Amino acid sequence: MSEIAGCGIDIEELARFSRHLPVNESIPDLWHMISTEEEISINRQVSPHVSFPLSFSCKEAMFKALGRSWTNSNISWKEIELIFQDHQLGGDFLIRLSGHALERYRALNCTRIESAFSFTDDYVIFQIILHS
Amino acid sequence: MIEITDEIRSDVREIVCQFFAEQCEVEIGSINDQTNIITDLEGDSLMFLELIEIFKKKYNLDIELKTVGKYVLKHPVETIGQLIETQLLMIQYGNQILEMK
Repeated sequence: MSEIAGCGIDIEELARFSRHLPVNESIPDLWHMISTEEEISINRQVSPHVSFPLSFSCKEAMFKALGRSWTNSNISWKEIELIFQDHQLGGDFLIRLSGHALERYRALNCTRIESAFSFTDDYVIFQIILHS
Repeated sequence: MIEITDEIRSDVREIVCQFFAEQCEVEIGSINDQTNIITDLEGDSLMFLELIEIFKKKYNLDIELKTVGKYVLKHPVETIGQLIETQLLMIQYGNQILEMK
């Protein structure tokens, strides 16, 4: 039987991201700072006003689940990726860890990530449970 | 490396205080160097990232977020005063901030 090694929940207000949404070909610097090129490319094709904030929320939730933040560990934002595999919000998605994030995941003896998200017109919410 | 003048120091202070006053809906006069960003203003990661973005753009900074993260790991930022000093060092040293003694 698995045990819970970590849990993280994050909620974000969509309005706070309104000035960080891509306009035409221009991607605001915020996303270049915290997202990989693959994430940016897919998020642009999904529903940018929701997918970009969701990727932020996913990273925040994962930091919490790992018991770390980007200012008290070596984990960088880009080491936690949210990939919409079907290029749509309702399809499959993958949370991919690398570098220090993956090291921390392994140090916690995690074997599985359970995750879910939801959104309304005003908010996105992301929940992550790490099983060991 | 950019030399920090009194004008830059004053600009950074104004931008930081103005930013938190707007984002956190508090009077700018109530923000000082001792103001705690989390407990007094309820600041969060997005605000910190937005500020970095603002200064990167304004001063054309060459600094990566992971560098900022590594610096803050060793020099925690809890107050407005500490944040202003960190932003000034980012402006002055850019990606070399970690090599600074």
